[in-house]
Amino acid sequence: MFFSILKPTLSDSCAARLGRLSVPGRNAVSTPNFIALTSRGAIPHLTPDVLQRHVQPPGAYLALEDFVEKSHKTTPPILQIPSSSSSNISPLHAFTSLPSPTLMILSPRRAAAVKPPQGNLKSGMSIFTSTGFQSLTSPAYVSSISKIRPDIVIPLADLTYSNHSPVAKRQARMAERTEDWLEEFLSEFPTHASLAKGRTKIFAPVLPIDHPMQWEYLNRLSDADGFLPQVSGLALNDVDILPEIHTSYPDLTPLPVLSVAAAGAPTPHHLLRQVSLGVDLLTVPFLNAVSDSGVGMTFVFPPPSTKSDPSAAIVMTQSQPEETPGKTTGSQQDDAAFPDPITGLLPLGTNLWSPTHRLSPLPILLSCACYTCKNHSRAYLHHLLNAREMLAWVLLQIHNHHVLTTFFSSIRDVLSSSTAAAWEEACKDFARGYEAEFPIGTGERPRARGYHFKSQGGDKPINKKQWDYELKAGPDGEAPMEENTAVVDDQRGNGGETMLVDRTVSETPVVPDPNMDARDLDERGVGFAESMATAEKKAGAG
Amino acid sequence: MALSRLNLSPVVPASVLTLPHGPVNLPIFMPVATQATLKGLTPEQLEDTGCRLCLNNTYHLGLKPGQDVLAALGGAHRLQGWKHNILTDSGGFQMVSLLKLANITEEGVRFLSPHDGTPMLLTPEHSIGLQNTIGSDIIMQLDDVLVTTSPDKTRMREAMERSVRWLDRCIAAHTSPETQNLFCIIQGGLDIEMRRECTEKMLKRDTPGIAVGGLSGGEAKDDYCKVVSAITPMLPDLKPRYVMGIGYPEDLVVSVALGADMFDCVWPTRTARFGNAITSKGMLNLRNAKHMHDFGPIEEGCGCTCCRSRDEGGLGVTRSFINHNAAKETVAAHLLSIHNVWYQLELMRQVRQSIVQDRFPAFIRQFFADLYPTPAQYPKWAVDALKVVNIDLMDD
Ligand SMILES: [Zn+2]
Ligand SMILES: [Zn+2]
Repeated sequence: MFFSILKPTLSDSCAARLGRLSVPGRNAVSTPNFIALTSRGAIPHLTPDVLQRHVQPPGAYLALEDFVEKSHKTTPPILQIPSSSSSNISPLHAFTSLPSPTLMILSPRRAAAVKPPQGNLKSGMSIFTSTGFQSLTSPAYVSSISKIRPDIVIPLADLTYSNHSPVAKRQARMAERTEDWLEEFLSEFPTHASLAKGRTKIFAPVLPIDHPMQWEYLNRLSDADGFLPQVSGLALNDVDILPEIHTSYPDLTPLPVLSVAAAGAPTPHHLLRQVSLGVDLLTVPFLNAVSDSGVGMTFVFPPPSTKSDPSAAIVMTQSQPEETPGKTTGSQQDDAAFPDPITGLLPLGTNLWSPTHRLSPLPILLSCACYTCKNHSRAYLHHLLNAREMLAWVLLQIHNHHVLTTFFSSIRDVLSSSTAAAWEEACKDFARGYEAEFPIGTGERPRARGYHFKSQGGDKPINKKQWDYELKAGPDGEAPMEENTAVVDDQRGNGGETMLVDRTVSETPVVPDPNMDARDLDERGVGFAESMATAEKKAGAG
Repeated sequence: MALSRLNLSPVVPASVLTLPHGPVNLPIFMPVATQATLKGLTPEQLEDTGCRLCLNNTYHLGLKPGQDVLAALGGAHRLQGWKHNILTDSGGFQMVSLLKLANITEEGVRFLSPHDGTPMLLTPEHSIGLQNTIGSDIIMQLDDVLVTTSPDKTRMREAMERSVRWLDRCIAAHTSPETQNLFCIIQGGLDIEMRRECTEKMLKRDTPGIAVGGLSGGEAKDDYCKVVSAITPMLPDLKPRYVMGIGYPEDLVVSVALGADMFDCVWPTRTARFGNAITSKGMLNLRNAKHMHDFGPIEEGCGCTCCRSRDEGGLGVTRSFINHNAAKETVAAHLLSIHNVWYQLELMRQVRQSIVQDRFPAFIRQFFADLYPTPAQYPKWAVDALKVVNIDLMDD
């Protein structure tokens, strides 16, 4: 069975449920759980060996648009990669080297996608490739899927990628088009031999518009004579509609629900709400961004309780946050467990850019068993950020993914052992105990990468030589860095609007030159040498 | 520290160097973890390449995180979570090469703080003090570095002699000789006689290891080889011989043939960030469009984590995937760094094995045959340098 519900909806008011998603060749995914978002086939900063050993993501969300390059001239490599001898290695796994137990979910577009300036065409969805926007039709998409063979695929949806809710007329058209595209998709799907076996499951998109605007489409989705037999799950672009779906379309209730709402869950509070609404698989749009901002997550579920754990209360009262930065050395107390002295709220994360961590030998989170926390101190993470070293973001990603993994496994523990009332109480405790938002990372983020920096107008030839024999000539055979302008998707500021920026202005170097120049001497930066004044004083004294 | 030789060859050494954080095999290539991190690799990934001795730069660590942090955390091993050995330079080279206003006096390196213009001073005592705090297994003396191509003979002699005097100050300032091994750095530019004189003077100080400094600064390869060949025969058998800043594969194998056995260079990781893979056939720029549909490993037969297939317990990373993400996702740079560091370390492992098995000349001939399409393309400096040590590259 592809999806089994182990513990159904807890009560009328709480739709949270426990389930298990089983796909041959992949690790079974206990739900509720989270799906890691990828960029160009990579979970940002994490190489596949690190994923295998330390992250083990249950699922990865990939966007076809990330793999389409120069498609007018050549076939994208992902559609050409030879089949692996092992049936467990899909072409998508083979191309990305992602761990074979990880479930692969393919969508036409990223969860947080750039808004197409011309919108979608009637024939298909506009996707953002390295050569600009191009239209993807259902037949073309299905043809690609037949070669890539993801475990789960999300068909096309007429999404606007706008901050504003479209006008009613546009909403109606969204529903109509999505229905038409899905019909085309489903009729095309079985014509491909590699898909006919049914290994690739289809999660039908649900639109981010009100129920009355898409009821006809949903009707057809839930109809045994309509789309239902071919649909194995739902992909929600807005979770608020879920209660109505479960009420109005009981035939859809057994289907696993994936949330792909890009802006829908900026904090773990929102994740808990999604779980309460009955979402089984959650993409976590804030995860990569929080790591990039230099913040290590510190929340746990259920929140540490002063009522049930008297020792925690002692720690909390003893430990007012230090007034002077850097004085916390040697303290074995975890300030992530300290509530804010004014609000009494626990922080969702700690900003490792903060100089308070400069001398801290503590891990990001004392209770965390991740690779980062077992091996590295906050002082090291602070140093790495301060030195703009790429390992900072690697270690933060490992930790933050682990916090989310633990968060979801605790959610499942609470759900399996509790009543609806106890679950709701735990959620309320979390809402009451933790701050509403993540702290702001005060430093620079890593250099914008991948999707955020697709070149405009196609790649220029980078190096005419086929083999770089500069090595033999002696000097460092470095290729020049690429073009100076790029399209930026500013996720924070203007919700997916694209703009042209000069790289030299916008780019945070991920990598400082090892021979960084003298300006890098910061205020402490005089470092190990001493000032002449001090030296002379010493000389005079001696 | 102890060094045991595995071969009796009068020139080419293969040995085991026992350091405070475990033994390392010589000859060795040491990757450079400039700021207490090797460009995006976790210490565990670095360990996976077989690395047991890496570099940190004293100058950079003095700036960030700063000596107080290093002291508070108990040194650089703890700071970066690295269980194996660390070598640090003295900081002088970076000081002189990065700070244009640096001025060298007998006291030390004087420079204006780029932060506020305050006059600053780096002395041999400061450098050793910081390296003592860093706790590196091998520390380097502060030397008076001058580009080898400098035409000023008088200045060159001054630099050489001052480096000897500074070595004495470094030895005197060194507080933990039991756990940290101080290496001298031989100076003297391209003047063979001056190099020999410096070598003699420094050998009298009997430091645990000997480094050759001031090279890899743009001198002709012929001149480089002459300097190394002049110095190595003077060195005692049971001390490591470190040529600083050397990293191109053919430079490494030729330098081993000339009798050196420790090397470091930032190049393998730096070039990885530009999408370049080091292979036995030369450099491969994986950003080139010809690799877009190339589903082979970075290098066929390579034993690194990236290149091994999934069946072999590796990742089965393809050139196509690197091409897809080079300069776009940091992951591509990390993967190439893993491969490049592995390549360099594996090259030295093979060099070592061939020395131990007494077939080093054959190895080096094969190495050049793989690297160049025809012998006519072999670099003249390498052919000439190897002839001097009785290795004929053109010999079949
Ligand atoms: Zn952790
Ligand atoms: Zn490799």
